[in-house]
Amino acid sequence: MKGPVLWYARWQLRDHLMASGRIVGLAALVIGILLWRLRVNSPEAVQGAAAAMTGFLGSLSWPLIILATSGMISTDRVDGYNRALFSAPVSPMWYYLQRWLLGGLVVGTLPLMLAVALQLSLGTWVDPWPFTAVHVLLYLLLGGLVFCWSAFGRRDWAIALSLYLVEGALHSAQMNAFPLPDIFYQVNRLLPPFHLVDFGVVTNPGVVLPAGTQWVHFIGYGLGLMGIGLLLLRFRPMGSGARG
Amino acid sequence: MIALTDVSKTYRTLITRREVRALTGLSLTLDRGEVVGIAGPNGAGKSTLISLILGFLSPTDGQIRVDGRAPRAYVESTGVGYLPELVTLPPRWGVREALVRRAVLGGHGARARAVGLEMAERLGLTEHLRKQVRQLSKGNLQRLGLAQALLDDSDLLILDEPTHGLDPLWTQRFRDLVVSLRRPDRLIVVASHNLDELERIADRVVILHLGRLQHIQVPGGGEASRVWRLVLAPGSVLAAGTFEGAEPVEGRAGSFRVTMELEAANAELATLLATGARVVSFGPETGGLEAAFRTAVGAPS
Repeated sequence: MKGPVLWYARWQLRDHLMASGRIVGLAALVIGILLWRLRVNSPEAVQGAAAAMTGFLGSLSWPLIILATSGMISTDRVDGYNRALFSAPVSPMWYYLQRWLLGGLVVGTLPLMLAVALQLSLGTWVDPWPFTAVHVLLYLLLGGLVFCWSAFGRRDWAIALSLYLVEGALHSAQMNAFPLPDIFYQVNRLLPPFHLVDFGVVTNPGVVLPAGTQWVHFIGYGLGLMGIGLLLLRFRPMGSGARG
Repeated sequence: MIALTDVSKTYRTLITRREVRALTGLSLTLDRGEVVGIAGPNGAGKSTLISLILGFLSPTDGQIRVDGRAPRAYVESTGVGYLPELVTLPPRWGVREALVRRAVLGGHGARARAVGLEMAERLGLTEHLRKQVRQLSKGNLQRLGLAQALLDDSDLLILDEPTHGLDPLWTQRFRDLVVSLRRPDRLIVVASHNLDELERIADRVVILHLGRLQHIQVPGGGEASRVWRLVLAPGSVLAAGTFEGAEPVEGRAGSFRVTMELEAANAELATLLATGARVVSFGPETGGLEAAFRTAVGAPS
């Protein structure tokens, strides 16, 4: 990465902290207060700290990732901010890669923040690192998908969300042997493999991570999406019209 | 510095693929040391031309080189001082923040803050530094955009409608600024609808119409001018033997159009004053660009 872009990291980090960082902090605070109230009223809740972590992350992780990455590139293009940014001696490719990485850094603190909130409210420490691994892997795949679409055009979050939900539904149908035409399952094999990472379920806490060659599939897919996004930034002109 | 060879740009609508030709067969060379104006009616292709020079768009046909390189490669390695036609910045940013951020991206590193504040002072923005971008008036926003464009001391300055929204005082200051920004290794490109402004500041004005280069006008202002306007006070007359060949301007009593070199004009003026004639004004004849513009775009005078 070039010097000016690295110098600019501070500002990008600030942008992320002001947006998704605030949400992470607020979510941890609200959850902490609710659990503390729960602990006061029903002390047996202390036993469910890991389940709480699983439940909260399962509900918060993907919306936060979409929120943090949506419009990362397309907003600058549509609102015209790119014109001032990229008249400077800066490559859009490095600029947005750094922005995406810093977004991952901020969003990636969610499990740790929740673990701290659980410790303070329930008095039980839940090891956040396995959850962080799942969360960061999901950022690579889902955040990479939004990044890729954002480099291409608008509605990046809607497309990524649709693919995320469709893949989840088709995978669930396959697991339950739902009688869908085979073409659906063939299509599902081409979709991003979101099902390879999971926070588990509340009744059976614990993370699901890829195994064996699934790692190659998962990481390769995520890096491939990022690669396409970066190539678009490298070779596709930043303007969408004379003034855009 | 900038060479365009047979450049065309066609936009296609996404669904119907309908074509809109923004520029057609444009060949042009812009050199360091020049101030080049770009004029044309709305939709003439001015903003497309600027976007192509900055590498924000790619030409459909033809080639553009900036210092021998592809536009984007030049911009990413050197940077360009660019004021867009519409200054758009995130509304929540502070004025100071907008300047420092742009200075950081311009490569000023640890000096970014000082450079930003220095430029704020130069553009009269010091009192607005604590404001958010959304709180700025149109004119102040324009000055902020101009300040951002000037932060890097670039060899290439591209100013799209630079005086749009500026009050008369700042419009005049902008003209002075352009004069102070001139240097032999710098090219300044100014796109404007304001022909009077271009006539005052530009060495050459490229007139575009319907995406084509119609005419390149060399304005008659400054010392290079040979056409002057002489205005005498009521009661004064041109003494015999002075300003021979002066043409009275129709409908303007005491006003004459004279054509001669500057040195000769000064000598004539001294002779005229010695006869007791009172001169109200003597300066370069303006309006040539407007006439050229009207001819180029086929508009009635």
